Amino acid sequence: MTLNVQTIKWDFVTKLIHSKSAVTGLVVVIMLVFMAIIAPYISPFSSDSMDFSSMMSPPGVNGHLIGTDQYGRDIFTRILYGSRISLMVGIVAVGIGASFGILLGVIAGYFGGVWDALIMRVVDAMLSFPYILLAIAMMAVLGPGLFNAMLAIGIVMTPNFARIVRGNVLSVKEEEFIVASKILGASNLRIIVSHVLPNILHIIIVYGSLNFAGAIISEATLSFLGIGIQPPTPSWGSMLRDAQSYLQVDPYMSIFPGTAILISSLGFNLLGDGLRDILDPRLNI
Amino acid sequence: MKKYIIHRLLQIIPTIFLVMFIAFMLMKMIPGDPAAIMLGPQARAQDIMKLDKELGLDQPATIQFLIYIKRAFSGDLGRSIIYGEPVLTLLLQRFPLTALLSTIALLIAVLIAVPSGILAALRQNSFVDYLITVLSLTGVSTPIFWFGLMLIVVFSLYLHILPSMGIGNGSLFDTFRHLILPSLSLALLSMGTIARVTRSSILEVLRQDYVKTAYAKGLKRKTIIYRHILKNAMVPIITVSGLQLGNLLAGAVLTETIFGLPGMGRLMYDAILRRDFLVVQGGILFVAFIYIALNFSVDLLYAVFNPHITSSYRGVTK
Repeated sequence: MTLNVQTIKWDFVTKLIHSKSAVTGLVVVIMLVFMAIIAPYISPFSSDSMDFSSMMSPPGVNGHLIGTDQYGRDIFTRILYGSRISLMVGIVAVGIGASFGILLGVIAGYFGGVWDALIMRVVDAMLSFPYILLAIAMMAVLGPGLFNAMLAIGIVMTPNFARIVRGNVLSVKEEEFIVASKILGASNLRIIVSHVLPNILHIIIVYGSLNFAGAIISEATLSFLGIGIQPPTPSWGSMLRDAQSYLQVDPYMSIFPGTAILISSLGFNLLGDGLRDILDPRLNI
Repeated sequence: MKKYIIHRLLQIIPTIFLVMFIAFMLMKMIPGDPAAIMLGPQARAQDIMKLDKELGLDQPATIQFLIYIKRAFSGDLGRSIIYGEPVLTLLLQRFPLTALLSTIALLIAVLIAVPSGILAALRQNSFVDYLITVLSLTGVSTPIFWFGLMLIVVFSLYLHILPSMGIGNGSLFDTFRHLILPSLSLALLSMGTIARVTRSSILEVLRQDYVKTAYAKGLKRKTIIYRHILKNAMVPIITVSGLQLGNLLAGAVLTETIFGLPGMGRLMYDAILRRDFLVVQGGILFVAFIYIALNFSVDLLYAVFNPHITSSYRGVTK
């Protein structure tokens, strides 16, 4: 038995190494995490120190690797610190979306009946609002800020998680081993925790990774619109908001924060895509 | 078919009420008194009370919700604080531009994404397939507002060939010229998704037995591709493209803001910044209703293409 589990693990690792997209994605994600952790140690400046002798300077001037913004703040440093915000929003928002989504999806899929009808109608209704618009509207009423942004993005993510989890719980529920443990008298909670959840875990991981990319872009969008993370906290979206006003004078201000958003969300998308191919190629998400 | 339509319509009714409930709850989420926040710190107490009454905020929550539903169904989404005009009037005034922008964006996205997806699927695991897959994933990962800014830098500021602001002098040609960059950047929102769905649905059809049979019969490759593969793969592609229109309408908040277009998105953005909540609430309800209508039409199209769905509604006795 142990041997069997070991083989499955090795099989996964081998497939992972051979999947170009999963490896690329994983490398990007690891670099991003690393960047966020060591930001204070490698950044040449502090994130809000202003250098009035070189405002909006192009790359390479006065030791500013990729230039400065309108207050003479080092853009490279601010991008490094911005990765912390992006990762934090991603972790918390996906955490909120996945937890509520799993809870609702399992209740709807496993117990069915009235619960299913009720939950799925609410899910349908929430999905009738375009994702980003609902997040924008929620921020409009909640007011800007890091916590509200994480909450809004997490809530908006929930119905998608719920729908995917429900669909997969429905098919897992019919498996023989679950029917067997029901006959053996296992409680619903036990069946859910030890049989249903482990069998949909891979879907949650894949979907979580893809949604992480979505969360990074959503946070950037909210901050770009001025209703997300507020200055002076360095977030990639709010850096682009500043850059928009100086597009004509200093295009560098807008190139790099956008590239950072692109690379990080591409990393999570590649990872999710690659993992899906490895874990369950038929998965349609 | 008639039974199917009625069944789908009955399914939509609870969704419509729940959508209105969500829009209603959005106002309830406002911390503090919405009337006081909307009118700003300098507002007089009697004005706040008057607005409270107008919004029905002096009533219990259930009554408020009933009033809201009743008003919404008669087309009354409230009055804008900034403009002093009914919200629905404002939305309808600005909707045509947003609809035009989103439709052009959808056309661009479909024209680029569908052929790419087909090509990738027909040459599965080739370099072309790999390239298209990576490009569409990059498209999905790119924030459209940043892509819009980059388009402005390249085409307006550097090459000076396209305008970056407004809708021009009103002539048809000038309007389209002004819509090129906004619709290109908006199109990116859907391009990756449509390409990926196209690729996977063609691959799905390629695995079917009838395609193998067609090849075995010795039919020409062109005939098989057009008559058997594309025709059958089109349903999911149409579904996804139709539903993308809803997302594009939402994405217009970003593109219209960047490119200074006076559409519905811009209206909502200004309303958000100036805390004109009824416009925000009305706007998202408006878009949600369009989305529900789109969803319904796509389902009907689906039923037309796929008789299996309607046949289950025909009943046992003939």
